[in-house]
Amino acid sequence: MNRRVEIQFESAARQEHAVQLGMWIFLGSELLLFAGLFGLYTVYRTEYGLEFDAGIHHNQLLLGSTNTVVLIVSSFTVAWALYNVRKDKRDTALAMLGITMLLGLAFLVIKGVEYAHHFSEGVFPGKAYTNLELPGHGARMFFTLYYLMTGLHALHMIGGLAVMGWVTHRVWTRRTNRESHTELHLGALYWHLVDSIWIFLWPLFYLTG
Amino acid sequence: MSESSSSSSGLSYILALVSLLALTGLSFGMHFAPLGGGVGTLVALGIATVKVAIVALVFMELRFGTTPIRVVALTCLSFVALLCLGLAADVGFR
Repeated sequence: MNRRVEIQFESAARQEHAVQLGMWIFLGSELLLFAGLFGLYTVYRTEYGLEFDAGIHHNQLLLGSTNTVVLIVSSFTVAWALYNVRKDKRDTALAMLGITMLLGLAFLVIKGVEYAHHFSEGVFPGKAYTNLELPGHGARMFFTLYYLMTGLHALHMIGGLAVMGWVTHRVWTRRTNRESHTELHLGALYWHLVDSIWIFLWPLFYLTG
Repeated sequence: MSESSSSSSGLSYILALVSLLALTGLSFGMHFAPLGGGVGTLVALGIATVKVAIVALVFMELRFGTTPIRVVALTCLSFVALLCLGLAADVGFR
């Protein structure tokens, strides 16, 4: 690897390991950020089981499921991009990164369509909630958590898209290549974490009612 | 660090994708199965856990990770599971 070795590391291998470990600690802190919200969901679902079930049935299963497939395929394409950079197949890697970003955008568009549909029904977070079909306090809490958790996830998607755009530019300009591709590896790890969080959000908000 | 010896093969990526899509289909199908609410939730979360394990082991290459990296990942997941189980037990048995 032709990356410059910083003075505090005795070898490139040690530096690479420190970078990887640092990224995993960052991913762990991201996971713990979501853990608080998963904890809140657990409490309110235990408290308002029937109203949470009704909220889950109210959500659009097809759109949520489509988004699950979109993110899983995007996880594969970013992994495939890294695989091809390691094989020095730059064009394939660029194509895979392009598809990854398109899938990320598709996810956000579908999520936007869902939000717009909810807004038209008066399904807003917190005190702004005015839906008459599901009027209970539990339903309001369900949709408040829905917006909090899927909204925070969507913000992470936007961050992931920015990282993918930067990494794609580096691959395009050959600064990220077979010998030096740590940033692509770290960006891919972040993208997979965002995918993994959605893998749990999907059953909690669409499937388990 | 040489990554060629510590990264997933192309076939393993494809198998992971097929498995993830199959498990997603299974979760979708189970939604319509006449399971009780609690059992259905446990099955769906169980399938989600398997899917995240596949993503972590193959796509994120955790199976090639060093011991410190595995410790970080397992500690975080354990804390999240403990938090959710503890809260559910607290509220459920009040």
